[in-house]
Amino acid sequence: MKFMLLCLTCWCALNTYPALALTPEEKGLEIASKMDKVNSGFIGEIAEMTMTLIDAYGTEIVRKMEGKIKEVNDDGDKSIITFLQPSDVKGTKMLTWSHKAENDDQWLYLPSMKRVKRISSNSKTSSFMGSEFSYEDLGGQSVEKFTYKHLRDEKSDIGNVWVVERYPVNVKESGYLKQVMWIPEKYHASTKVEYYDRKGTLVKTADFLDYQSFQVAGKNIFRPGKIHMKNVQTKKQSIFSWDKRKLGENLLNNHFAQDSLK
Amino acid sequence: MVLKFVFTIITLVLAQFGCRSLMAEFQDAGELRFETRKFKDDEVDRTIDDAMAVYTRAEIKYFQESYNATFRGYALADSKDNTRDNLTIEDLFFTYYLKKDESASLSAGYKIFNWSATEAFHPADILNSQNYDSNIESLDKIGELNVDTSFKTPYGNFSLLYLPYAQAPKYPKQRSRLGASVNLTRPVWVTSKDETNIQNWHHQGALKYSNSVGSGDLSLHAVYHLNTVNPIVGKRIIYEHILFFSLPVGIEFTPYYFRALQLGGTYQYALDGGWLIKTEAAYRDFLDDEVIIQTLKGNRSPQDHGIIAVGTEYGFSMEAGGESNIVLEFQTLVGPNKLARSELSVFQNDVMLGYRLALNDTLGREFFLSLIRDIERQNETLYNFNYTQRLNDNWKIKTGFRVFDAPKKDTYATGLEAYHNSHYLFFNLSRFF
Repeated sequence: MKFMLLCLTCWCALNTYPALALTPEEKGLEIASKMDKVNSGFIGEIAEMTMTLIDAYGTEIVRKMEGKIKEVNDDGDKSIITFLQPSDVKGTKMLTWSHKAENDDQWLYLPSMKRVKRISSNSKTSSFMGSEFSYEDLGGQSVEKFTYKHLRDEKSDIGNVWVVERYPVNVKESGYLKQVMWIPEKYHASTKVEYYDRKGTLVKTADFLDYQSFQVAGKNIFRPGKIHMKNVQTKKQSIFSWDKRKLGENLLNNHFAQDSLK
Repeated sequence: MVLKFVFTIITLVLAQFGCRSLMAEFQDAGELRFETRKFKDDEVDRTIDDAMAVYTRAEIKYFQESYNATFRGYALADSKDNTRDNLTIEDLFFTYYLKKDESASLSAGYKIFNWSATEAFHPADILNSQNYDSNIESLDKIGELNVDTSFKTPYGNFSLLYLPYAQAPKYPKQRSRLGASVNLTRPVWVTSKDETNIQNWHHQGALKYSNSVGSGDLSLHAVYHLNTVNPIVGKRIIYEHILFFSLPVGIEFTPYYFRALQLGGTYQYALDGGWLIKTEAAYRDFLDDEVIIQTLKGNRSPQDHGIIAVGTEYGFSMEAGGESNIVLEFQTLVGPNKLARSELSVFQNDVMLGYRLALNDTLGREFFLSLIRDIERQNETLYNFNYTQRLNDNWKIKTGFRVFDAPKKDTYATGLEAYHNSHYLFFNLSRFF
């Protein structure tokens, strides 16, 4: 009788396991949602940004910017990038209202004409200031803009690392077929991303380095200090780094309006 | 000339060194540009077919928590044609925030406004006077003296402006290839049907509303001012007394500017798939339209009219990270007859097609090609091509050409005909600070 009960219990356990376990897609989405939750609550962020462009021969060019991000509840964040270098684009500003699912709203302020121009967010795959980053790489990364698949877990010196593949929902507007992300459980943010073009060929890899911890309203939020993007096809590289970064800044909503760009 | 040189040096020095110690509160920018342009020889000795100029521009902004101050201006000195020399204040204003969240502000001083949504045609962008020694589809502006109070509300932004000084446009002189081949006298402001004067101090005002809703940007405005976009150039025969006779010795041309009420607005909308829809419209009601001015072409009065510009822009990414934009715009003037329309605007019924290719590379290489064609008047086309490239972080070149193909159809040139055969090549070398 005991044997029968044991067999029944084992049978029930074996048969109910698939119903309790998540599919790779569900697990991927769960990880993405966790990342979003853990990294939210930063309120506002300001930083000075430097982008170093390195060509295949090792020649370096430096670009400088200033960035402000305001967290928006129930929608994507609002951000302003002010270009500081090279000198001919000094004072040019890009305002982005990112959205969870819809296309982002974007405006460009051209100081020479004092003109605020609405721009199409269709050119996401264009290079950002001649770098290996595209506008898509640096733009809003909301959970809703991708579908996910958990590939595997890996062990590293900082603990468990989730390896997740993500696919753009709006395939036509993305330059990528998929991205593979390595996400340490410690940071709930990527430390490495591989970008595959629409044909499925690996085109770029990004290493997210020098993670720093920021305390915002009692919450620990991790941000990378730099992103090192390498184009495996052209051998060009770009390093995007943040200085004087502050989180928890209470930025005025009025600063993120097109009239305030002038 | 000496003044301009001093201005240039002071502003560049200020921009470069004066503010370094207070970087947190100051922003500065500057440009020193060497301009050359070569017109097609018109075989007229009076006109100057070359230009070789030094252009300098400086901008300084000072920020504090509750206020800020801005200065921006440029100077141009041309060694071939000193009638081009000019010193222009674009911005010189002080803004004080009435509320801590910067939702209400009061500013006063000279200011450039840009109310435009479209690329080539700008019926809504009416506030500033312009310098006509620049590209006709994107004229340089002159700062307008104003007191401006603005309010940001959840329902949109409201601005109320008082403009006490009517700023006259700058026109190229007689020797310029981009002018009407005449020197204009001091402007006359028509401030009522019985009153003209040469004083620039007049009460003018404007109200503007703007809001972004979804993927669209809307702005509406009402402006009461002395309109400087649609002047009537009057002629007066000058007589000289020789012995007992009064003999005509020349003609004097005077621009007359009239009071007008303009109601207008702009709307831009981003469609899915990379398309932008843009539109601008304005209705200009001249308040003294019974005044008659004697011109070379006969008697003229200001004509009420509507002007509508619509356009679309499509942007897409290229394989190697570059970016392309195709622009198609159309402007039409409604109300007056064909002749009056052609006298009111160079682009009274025109279509513009443009293509921009930005390689988005480290040199920032960019090509722009456009044509503006009159679809009402025959054989009036403006071709424009330019190429820009960075040489390094501070130096940049811009080169290109403009072709004006608009042969004269009557005794006197109208619209783009005034520019016919004034084709030119240009090359600019800029150092940015």
